[in-house]
Amino acid sequence: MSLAIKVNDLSMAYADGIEVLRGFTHSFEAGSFTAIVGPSGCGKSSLLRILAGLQSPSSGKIETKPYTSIGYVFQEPTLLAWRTVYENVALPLKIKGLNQQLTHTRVVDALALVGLADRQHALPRELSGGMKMRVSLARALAQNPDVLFMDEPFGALDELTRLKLDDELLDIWRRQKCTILFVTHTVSEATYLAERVLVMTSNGKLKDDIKIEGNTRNEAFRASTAFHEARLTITKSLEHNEEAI
Amino acid sequence: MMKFLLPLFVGSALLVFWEWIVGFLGVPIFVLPPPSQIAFALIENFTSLMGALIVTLSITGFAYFWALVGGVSLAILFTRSRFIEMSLAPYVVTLQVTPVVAIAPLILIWVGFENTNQAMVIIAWIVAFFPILTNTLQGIRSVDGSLHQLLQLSGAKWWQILIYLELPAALPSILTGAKISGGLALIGAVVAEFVAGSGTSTGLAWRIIEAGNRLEIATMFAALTLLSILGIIIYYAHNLVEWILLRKWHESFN
Repeated sequence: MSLAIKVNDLSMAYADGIEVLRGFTHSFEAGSFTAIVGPSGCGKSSLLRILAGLQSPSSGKIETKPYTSIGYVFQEPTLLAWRTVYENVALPLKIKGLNQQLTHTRVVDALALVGLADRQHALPRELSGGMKMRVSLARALAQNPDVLFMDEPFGALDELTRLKLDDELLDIWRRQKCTILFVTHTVSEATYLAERVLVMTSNGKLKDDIKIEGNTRNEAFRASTAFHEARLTITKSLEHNEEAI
Repeated sequence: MMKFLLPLFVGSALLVFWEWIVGFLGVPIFVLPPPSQIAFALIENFTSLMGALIVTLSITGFAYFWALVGGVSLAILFTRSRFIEMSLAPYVVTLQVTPVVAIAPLILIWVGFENTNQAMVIIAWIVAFFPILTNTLQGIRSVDGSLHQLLQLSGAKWWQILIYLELPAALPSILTGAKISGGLALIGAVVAEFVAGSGTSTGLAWRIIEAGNRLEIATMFAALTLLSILGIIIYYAHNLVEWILLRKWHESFN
């Protein structure tokens, strides 16, 4: 297995002295699906922003393959209200200078992938919360990302929509074979989606790296002992974490 | 429908009452002329009043145009560079808080009495440009941080961020500023005409002074009516532009 991102001893402190990451070290395999869980303020979002290059770390080293293209899905849909669904998905490609033909193909494909092919000309205000999140996902996918960063993307959605989008995301991941780093605070979501779940402590350290067994993800998996045991392990890891404070 | 009929009805009732009370109390025409006299004065002096209207309108228009260009440009400059903002902001505020009537004579002298029109545009511009500057600044600064990061991740240059994100996101604020500035440009033009005096200025404000001096109060009211109509048109023109540009996507048109 080749590596997508290798992180070594990454630390991040803000100017006011608050440390959000301490000595984070981990290797993300190419094509893997990793979930990152931890209490609020443990630096999981900062970790994503640093790995995506939006923020500089205080110290540490990040190695990626050259020309790695990335996609980023924020907690909110972050759509431009004055642009249609199509124009929103096309914007990053336009900025990168892709030609119109290729842009069109990629946008149409990405929208089909998230099931919004027929809503191309809609404005964001005409869409439901779940649909907006799909557009946001399509925008990231249209960039053919090697690595897809997702920062609590479905956190604001209702349970049913979230379960549906979780399954759609897994489907897309299997087809696209990109590396996914998925931050969430929902343990069951992390357990269901990821191959590995990283548990962080409230002071920004990587505490546990838990491997989730099994390849199939469906209702049967959700009902299986393996799922419940893994969920329990993660929950315990998080609870001990609270005691340590 | 009521939105139009109700004010129309109130206005008409008021005019009828005005016409009646002036006659009933025998108010002299040089104190308060009845609406019929004002309408008559308007028709009688139509050509000269229209000429004056065009003069005032062009001062207002130029001042407004440069306020829009200057306000938006300066706001963009301020958001690009903290250094420029820190250097210039106090002077912009000084220009705004100093009463324009007090600076106007100076501007007339500096620009020269042979260029009164330019001086008047500058005076009206000083009054008009501040709301556009502050509203544009506010609009650009309120852009969601995640949207900025999104464009940053795509490798957007500063001008792409400006065109694709900041200006459209700030558009509602810019239009609000423009609406205030439109009214202020007209006020500024009137103040400028008052200060410029007889010189070469022949706008509506000057016609008001002139008619006042001659005790032609009906003509004075006619000029005043035209100024009001001009102000109303400016206001509703902005509402129309807002409707055209924002109705599809902005929350204010839900």
